[in-house]
Amino acid sequence: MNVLSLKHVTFHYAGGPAVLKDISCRFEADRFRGIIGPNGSGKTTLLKVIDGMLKPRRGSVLFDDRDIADVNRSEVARMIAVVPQEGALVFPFTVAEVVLMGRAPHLGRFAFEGKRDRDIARTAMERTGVLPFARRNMNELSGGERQRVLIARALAQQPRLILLDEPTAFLDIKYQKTVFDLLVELNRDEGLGILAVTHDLNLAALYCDTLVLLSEGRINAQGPPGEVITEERIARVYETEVRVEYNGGSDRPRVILRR
Amino acid sequence: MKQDVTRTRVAAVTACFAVLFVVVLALSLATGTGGVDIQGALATVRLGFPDDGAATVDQVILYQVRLPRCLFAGIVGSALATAGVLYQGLLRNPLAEPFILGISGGAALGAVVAVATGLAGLFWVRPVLSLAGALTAMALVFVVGRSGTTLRPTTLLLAGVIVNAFFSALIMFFISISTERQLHDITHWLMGNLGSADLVDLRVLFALLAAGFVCAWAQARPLNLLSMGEETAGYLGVNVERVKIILFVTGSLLTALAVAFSGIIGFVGLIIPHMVRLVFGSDHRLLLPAACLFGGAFLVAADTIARSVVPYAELPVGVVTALCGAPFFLYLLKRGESRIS
Repeated sequence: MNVLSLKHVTFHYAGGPAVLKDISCRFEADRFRGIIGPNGSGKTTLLKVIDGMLKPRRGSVLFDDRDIADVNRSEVARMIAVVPQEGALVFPFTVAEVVLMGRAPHLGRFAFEGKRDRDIARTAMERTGVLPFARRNMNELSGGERQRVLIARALAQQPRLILLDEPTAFLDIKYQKTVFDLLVELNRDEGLGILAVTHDLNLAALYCDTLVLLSEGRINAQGPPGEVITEERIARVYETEVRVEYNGGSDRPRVILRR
Repeated sequence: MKQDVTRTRVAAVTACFAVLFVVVLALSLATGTGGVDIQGALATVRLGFPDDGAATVDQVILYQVRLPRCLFAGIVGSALATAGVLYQGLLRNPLAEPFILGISGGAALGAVVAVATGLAGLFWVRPVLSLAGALTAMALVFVVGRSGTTLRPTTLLLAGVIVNAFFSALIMFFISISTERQLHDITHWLMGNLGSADLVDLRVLFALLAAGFVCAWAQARPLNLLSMGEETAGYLGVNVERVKIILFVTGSLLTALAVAFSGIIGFVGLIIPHMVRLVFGSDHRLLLPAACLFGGAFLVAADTIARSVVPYAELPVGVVTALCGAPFFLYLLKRGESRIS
């Protein structure tokens, strides 16, 4: 089994203050874990550091005991896929073309995608329900459809771990549920590790096995949702009064705003 | 419905554009004020070029005037269209074109200095000075546009605009102190023309174009990934900073090559990539060879019109490319728009 571990990771942007401060954690890549925290707590930066796009100023990120900083970019992309917050496409590409781009890290410089690559992309599109609009242009799709295309592209990379940055931002509740149900399925059926940054505490509590709560660049708490999401802790970290409820014997907390 | 981009399809489309290029070249060879008809032209081509003494007037026109000029137009058009594709991909901006990053300003300044100092009479001075100007502009934009270790599209664009503006000011200065005769030369150059075909070694130019194209082609897939955003390209395994430098240098050198010898021929580098994209999609593995050949064919055709539409006079080819290019581009844009909505 693949293990991702962060050892005393510290990061700051050039000339800026520390964004991540001495982060250490361990993550078995067959779990569904959520990263929560207020705006500016370093969630997105943490994802980029894990993927090796940003190099820690101190400390290291190890995937199966290999330092990500020493692994070349294509190989990282074969182990870890990232679903970024939606990026705008300048030139028109079809859904199928975008998903097929997930095969890039597996191909040589001048190689073209072969039948196997197309089969993999097709399966990924089937899995995420985007096959019906494979031939349409990306910019014709709705936010929820596009998000699933990006997840399909991540699947086409055949990674062992998928990192998602706010996968449900801008999505209505139907698509929020579709996306998270899909992630749970992928995690359960294919043993794919999922690490999702999200602002939505209730979605995170409902779907994730464990949560990491970031606050000002440090890990404030980690563990099962019931341990991380408590009234006192949320009030302290988010500076917001909330009520935390449990419904009908469930161990999944629900956060309710008070006015 | 768009088809998958496979090796076969790239080869087939490239072959079609190659045929188009050859047909346009043949028609262009047969067109002109010299009065060589197509059959006559083909017949002399078949015969090959005899020794100097035995050459007919037709053969001289064909081999020593039209053929070099057509090939030169083809090379310049191909270089500009390829550079356009590279810049649009690098800057992720559909309005990017080869002259947006200051290269044209530098080249123009070099050419204007050559004319204003009276040295342009020496046949190699003007291209050498404008090449030097283009390379200076390229270096300036690179230094200014680089923040830390990253090459940011927005900073590059701003740097290009500023460098162009600065060089324009210098060009204005030289124009203001030039004589009427010099002014005519300068204007002629600024509008772009392919009349210097006999001054250049086409084999060297072609070799440089081929080298540039190979560099560009090697970045075809990274270019595809870049259009999803630099971040995404990085997540998919692209060494983004290195690729951007390769794209910038290759695109700039191809532009410098074209501009130094032919002046500022607009629109080719902007519209050709878009035309190909609208018909064949955005995959750069198909776009690059298709745009390269189509750009060449387009400029050969435009130059044929430029040199034959007005008897015993020659229009600047830049005027023709803009006059044909702009409306056609508008048409494609409107058509593409209605297809999407």
